Amino acid sequence: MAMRADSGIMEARDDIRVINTLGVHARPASMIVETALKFQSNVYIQYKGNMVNAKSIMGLLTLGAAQGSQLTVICTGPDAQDALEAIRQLFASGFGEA
Amino acid sequence: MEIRLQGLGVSPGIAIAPVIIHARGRWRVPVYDITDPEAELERFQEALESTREDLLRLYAQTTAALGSGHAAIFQAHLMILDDTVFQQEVAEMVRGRRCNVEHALDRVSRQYLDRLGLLTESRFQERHADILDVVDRLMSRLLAVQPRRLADMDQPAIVIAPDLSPSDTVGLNRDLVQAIVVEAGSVTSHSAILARALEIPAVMGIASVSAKAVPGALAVVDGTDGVVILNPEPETLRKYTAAREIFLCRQAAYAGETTQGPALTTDGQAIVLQANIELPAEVAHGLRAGAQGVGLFRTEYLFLGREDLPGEEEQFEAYVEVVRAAGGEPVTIRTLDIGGDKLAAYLQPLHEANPQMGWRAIRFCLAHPEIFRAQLRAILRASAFGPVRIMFPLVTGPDEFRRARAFMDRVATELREESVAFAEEIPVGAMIEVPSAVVTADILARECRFFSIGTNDLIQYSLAVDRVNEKIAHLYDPCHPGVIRMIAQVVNAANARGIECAICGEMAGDPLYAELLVGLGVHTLSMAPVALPFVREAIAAISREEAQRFAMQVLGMDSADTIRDLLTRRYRERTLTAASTPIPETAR
Repeated sequence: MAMRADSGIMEARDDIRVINTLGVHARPASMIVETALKFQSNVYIQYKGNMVNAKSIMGLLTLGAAQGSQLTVICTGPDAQDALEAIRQLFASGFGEA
Repeated sequence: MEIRLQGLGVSPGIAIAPVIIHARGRWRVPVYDITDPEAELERFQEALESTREDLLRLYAQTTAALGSGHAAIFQAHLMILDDTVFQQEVAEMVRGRRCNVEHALDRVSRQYLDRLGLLTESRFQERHADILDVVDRLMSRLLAVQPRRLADMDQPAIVIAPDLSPSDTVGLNRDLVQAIVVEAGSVTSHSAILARALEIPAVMGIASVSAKAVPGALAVVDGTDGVVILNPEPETLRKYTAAREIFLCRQAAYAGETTQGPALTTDGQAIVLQANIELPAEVAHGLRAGAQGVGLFRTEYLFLGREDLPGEEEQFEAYVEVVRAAGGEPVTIRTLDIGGDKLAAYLQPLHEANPQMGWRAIRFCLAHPEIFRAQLRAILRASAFGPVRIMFPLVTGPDEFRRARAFMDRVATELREESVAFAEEIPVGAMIEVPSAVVTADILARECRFFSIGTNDLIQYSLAVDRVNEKIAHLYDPCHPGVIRMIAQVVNAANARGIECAICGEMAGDPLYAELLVGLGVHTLSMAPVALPFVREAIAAISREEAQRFAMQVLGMDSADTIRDLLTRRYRERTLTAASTPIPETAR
């Protein structure tokens, strides 16, 4: 994880692995959007050279991140660290899949 | 020129009407420069708001009509509509290029659709239809054209489509849609289930039919035999018009008040007629057509077309709804009869070379105790509200039945310990559809309270014929002496132990076989509600004694062709005497 303050902008980023069986399909995507929207920071998810805004369900759906995918989460803004932590926990919980 | 196409009949009935072709995302999108971007974006906002209202209304309507499981699709569409990043991208393009909003919407959404198109897993590709659906709604609002939603049709028509989204199907106008023809899809697909529930004739699995059909031109759809005829010749039209008339007249004539209770043969033998249903709404159709309860409640619809598993509560509500609707008549609930291939949305993708002989039905349930347990708890709890019977599908022999039964008993013990109410005396039976279950029927009869023969699968498995394979589909033959002997063997095993033997496959709903089945000793016939009046009528024209002699004669015959000829001849003679009108083959 890197944390820096360039010209006052906080950035937090980390690599996250998709552990749930179904990958980032519709329901996890909607949970990610809900979580990201709670923060002021911009939240981006990068996968295979594709970078999408985590506050956009349509963007997340086009990621096609299946189980086992390695994603990079990049948060920029005043609450970047908290946003990253919340997204990380969401992925770690497997999105509540049975 | 007349074009005759063969597909899969998934919902019975005959329709003759002009064609409309329903395809989404085929807009002629105008492109022009604008001077006032903010005014343009005002239009966008209005479109967003009215579309949101539409979706909320559809969500509420669908929840009320079909339950929250079916309505979830509209929630997903609302999330797409409310994607602020997407909205901003459209706005930026309108401001930056000073172009009209339709063009911006088209370009921006296309980027997403293109990216989705590159994904390989079907689970992700399916979202393509959702995005198209939302863009389509917005576009029709913006262009202020009559949205070509099926719900807004204004004339009777046959709807032909490459595919139908769940939101299309739930919005169908029952009064105007005469039939549905879809290129994709199968008997168990979401659209097929809904078509049957709405009693709309439907045929699926005809490739490129929407390219062959001409909008406005006449077509014939026979949802019973799976036939679609484009630009029918006068002779074809005459034949199907007659068939349709007879179908409708008899349906109406036999769905009156006089048709309640069991069907009676001329010598007073009572045959119980029941309904095969999928959606709670169908119970009413069945009862209206004289069904004495539900002989087969397929529970798969609860599990299809969604991304998560239905929980115990959701299932409980659905089962109670059916039990209540049946008003004290018995409801036979079949436990989950699909497998890994159909549940791929929330299980590890499973690629089976031969899913028909694969990990499905009772095998799948026994391997997924958490899924099986939730369903059995929900069914048992529903039994507190009216008579319920439980049927296990694809049972291959005694051990399997015992395992399922023991599992159910454990679930019942759990409920008892939790002091949850359920009926203590629930009849448990086996669906007989695998040859090994036929051969062991005498053993199974000691432990089952009833049998129900699923003739479709029994014929497929015993004749080794996959009906979907067009090269061999003609070999699927209910008149095969092997099939008739197997039915006789199961009925005899049931009668020897004094348990009920029902038939719930297509044979039960075809009046052609009524005399043979009654003669073999079958007690109960369960079928699609639409078939009930025809079978009742057929039974009213036969005597049990004669039927028994006839069945003996058929059992002594050695060829499917001669058996079929004889059945057809007897049926024609009977209906001729009874109705004094010839019954065209297509009316069956």
